Amino acid sequence: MSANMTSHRHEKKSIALSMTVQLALVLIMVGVVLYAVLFTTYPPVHDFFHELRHSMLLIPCH
Amino acid sequence: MSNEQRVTRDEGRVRWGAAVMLVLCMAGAASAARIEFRSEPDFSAIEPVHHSGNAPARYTLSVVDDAGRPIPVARVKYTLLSPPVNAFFTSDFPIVEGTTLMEGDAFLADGTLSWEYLTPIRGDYRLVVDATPGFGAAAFAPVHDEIRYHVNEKASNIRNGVLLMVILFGVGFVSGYIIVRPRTIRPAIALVVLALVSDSAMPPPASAHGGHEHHEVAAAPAPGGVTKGDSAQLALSFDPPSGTVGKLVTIRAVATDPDSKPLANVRFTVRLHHLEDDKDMYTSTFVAPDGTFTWRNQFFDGAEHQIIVTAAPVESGAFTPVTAAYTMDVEAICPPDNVVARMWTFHMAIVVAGMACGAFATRRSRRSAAEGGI
Repeated sequence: MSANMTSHRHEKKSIALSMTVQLALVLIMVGVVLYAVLFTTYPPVHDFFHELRHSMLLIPCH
Repeated sequence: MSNEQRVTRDEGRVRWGAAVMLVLCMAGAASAARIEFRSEPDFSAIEPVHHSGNAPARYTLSVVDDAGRPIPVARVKYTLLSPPVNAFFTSDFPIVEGTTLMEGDAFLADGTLSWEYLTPIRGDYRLVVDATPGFGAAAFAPVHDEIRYHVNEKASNIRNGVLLMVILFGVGFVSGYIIVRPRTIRPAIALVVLALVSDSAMPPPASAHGGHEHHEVAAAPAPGGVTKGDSAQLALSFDPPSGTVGKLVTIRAVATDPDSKPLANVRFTVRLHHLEDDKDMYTSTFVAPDGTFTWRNQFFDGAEHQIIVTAAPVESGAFTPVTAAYTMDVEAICPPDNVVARMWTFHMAIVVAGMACGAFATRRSRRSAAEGGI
């Protein structure tokens, strides 16, 4: 039986990312959000967050 | 030497001595002037503009004698310089840093010049003043003074800035803690939740900097050129005709009679009105003995401004006041890339620091747990 049994090798591949990649992804995500909200000069976004930027301490606006 | 010659020589010496004493007295009186500069509210209470509805502060420049009395009919040339560029941190108007905000040459009919002004940014301002006697004024030695005053950042801005740093550090700390520790939950899902939570914790944006809102100024007169009144006319000219943030615009006003002859003793009232925010950025009154005044100003906000100038006689009844206006486009300048990069990097460094602390905290707790299990 054991000979007839096809040994199935179930290979479990981990889909979890490495620690470094995860940290990098978090940094990229935070960096993009931060730039979009507080630093981009794209007019529609700039105009929307304009008062927020002026209410901050170290955010250049004009 | 005869007695007559001796008397004549003595009289001459007395006269010379009297003349020398008179000159010395005049020199002593001529060096008595000094410059005073004050604000209302006090300098420590003035905050930058920030589109927040702050009322302009009122500044008063005086040329006074030793007793503190304003010297009538003095002439002052003054230059207001913005705070210098900071090597590490920026204000919200980086283009304005290290520039000249205004230059003026005015006669102080009563020894004082006042203006109301919305200050653009925090920092150390410098007002350079040169005062000389005006025509018909009591003589005084020219005075040069450099006045420095500090404008504090708004307390709410400091609070918001610190809050942002705390949030960024917290995001970094939690993400570092979760990612480095042994996985009990899916980190990706946790981080997405974390990002959404941190984003919602940010202060909500206030009303937008609308690019096409129009605010009507009540009774706004016709713009530019020569405005003709009943008994006087007022010509405004601007160089350049449109403003740019960081650069001065020369504003010149000439008041003449209907025959284009300059009027004497004209009191000009100048008002700079921010059309988008519907508020006055600057207001002042200049006295021009020759009917002409020239003033240079930097429009530090890239939005349309209306410049309203009224010419009125110093002595009432000499002519009918006339008002002219001009709508000036001001080109906004984006912050320099190096400034944006520097500040973005600074804030990201806070996130990285948080991550490092979170990772360190995880490893430390893991080590403690491992030692406890031995």
